[in-house]
Amino acid sequence: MRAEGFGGDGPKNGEAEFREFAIGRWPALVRFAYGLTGDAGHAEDLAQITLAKAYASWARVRRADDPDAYVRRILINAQHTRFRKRRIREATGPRLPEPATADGTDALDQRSDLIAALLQLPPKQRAVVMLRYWDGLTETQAAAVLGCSVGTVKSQASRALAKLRTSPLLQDGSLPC
Amino acid sequence: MLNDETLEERLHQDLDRLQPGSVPMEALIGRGRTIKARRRAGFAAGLAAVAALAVGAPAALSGGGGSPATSGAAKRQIVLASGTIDGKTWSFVTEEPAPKGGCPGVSGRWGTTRADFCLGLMPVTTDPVSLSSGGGLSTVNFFIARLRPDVDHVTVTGTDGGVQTPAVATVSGNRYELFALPAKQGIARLDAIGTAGKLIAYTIPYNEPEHARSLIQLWYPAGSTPTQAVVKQIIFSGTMPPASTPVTATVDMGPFGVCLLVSVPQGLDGGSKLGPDCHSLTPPDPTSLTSLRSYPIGARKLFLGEVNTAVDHVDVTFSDASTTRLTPIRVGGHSFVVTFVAAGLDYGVVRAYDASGKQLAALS
Repeated sequence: MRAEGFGGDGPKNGEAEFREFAIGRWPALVRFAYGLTGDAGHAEDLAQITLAKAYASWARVRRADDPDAYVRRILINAQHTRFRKRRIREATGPRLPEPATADGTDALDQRSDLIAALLQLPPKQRAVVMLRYWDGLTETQAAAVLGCSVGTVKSQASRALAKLRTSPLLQDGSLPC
Repeated sequence: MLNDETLEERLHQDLDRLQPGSVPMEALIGRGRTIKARRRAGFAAGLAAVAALAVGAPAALSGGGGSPATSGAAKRQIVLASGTIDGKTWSFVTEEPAPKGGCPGVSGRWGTTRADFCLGLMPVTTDPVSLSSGGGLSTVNFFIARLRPDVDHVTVTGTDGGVQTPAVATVSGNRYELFALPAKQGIARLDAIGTAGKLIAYTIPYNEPEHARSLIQLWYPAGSTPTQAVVKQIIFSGTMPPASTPVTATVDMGPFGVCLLVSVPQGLDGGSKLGPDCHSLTPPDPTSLTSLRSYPIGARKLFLGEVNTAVDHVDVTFSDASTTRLTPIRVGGHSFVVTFVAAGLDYGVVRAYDASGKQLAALS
């Protein structure tokens, strides 16, 4: 018997396995998404669409060498897609663009200086920072998630750190510069 | 100087403060199935296009005309229900025609918050109403109540005391009430009113902490009164290595049934809240251990569930052949067992015994 057999009628099926995976990863995914979006509402939505996509491709996700890395990649791609769509809408839409934090005023108020500074970085640098310094991935692992070279991860991380060091948002002594 | 270590430390400090609610499981699975169905439909359309090209190309080459492959009729969106929360409009929208091979999907929307539901996946029960919910845990929760044929409508009493009767919408021959509530508000009571205008039954849902979801386990016939008092008790409180992170397991019992909730504070990938898992007030059969479940917490697990009150103790044998004996904890006339499972270990066999030492049940 395996742990997953509890409460089930027999061997764990794919859906039960997915549910267990989703329950275990949800908080970390929402936090990761918050690091990319800076908005709690958007973060939950992004985590939800990420897991929905993982569900739709569950056979592939569970076969992956590192399912967590696979899911991080889905999340980052989903965020890039949202970012691109928003830029297009802002550029071509007949109406005024929606504020980026339409649903997150509370979250915005509570957002830390570091997260605010992170949001000033280009999306790829933000993703590198999250993967390297929040997820604790190595440069090689981060490169695999992002589908780019180790050299790119190194340079993006270096540029991101340099920008964060000079960010006016972090000049209040909260991070020694 | 901002370096790798200080950045890592600050990121953890800031992000771990964010406390996500429970996973909107049904909503995300519904959304996942819709994605799957769209992919299948796209694949089928692709095959049709290839087939059309295969048929049309030789005809075109010989001077004849081939029919262009089309992607089918244009989709149109239909608003099934709408209202306002905090001055912003929420709505439930469905697409027609439904994706081929997919389910009749309905999407709840409020600003950028969105929850997709697959109506075909909603449980068909003998209950007067089955309820699904999902949405932005910090913004708005969307609810879909599927009505049994003899139910005319449902009235919803919120935890703020407000009563509403959402309009009934018919999708694919089934009737639903679709509504939204602010995420901080739960459902205090649902009344199922029959076609004759009289109350058939009512339920008192379990509202997750912070009202992330309202779960229904029990329906009470009109005229009956629930007898189960509300009891809430922590049955497990411990710390998990390596960071001595506290973990608690709570039993929440009342007219809504029996609910188990595992809480893990911030800072763990394992989650801040697992469950709740709710069931009716009827205790498990003495010969059954199927209500026992494991809750993943990082690399470890919490093994938890209800057993029959005739169970005196439960022996759990782990994958390293070690055995631990669990004595049931009594709460409100029910019995529960709980234990931590070390990292890297799994379960072997679980056996339940009565006071005389007779084995009542085994799970292996």
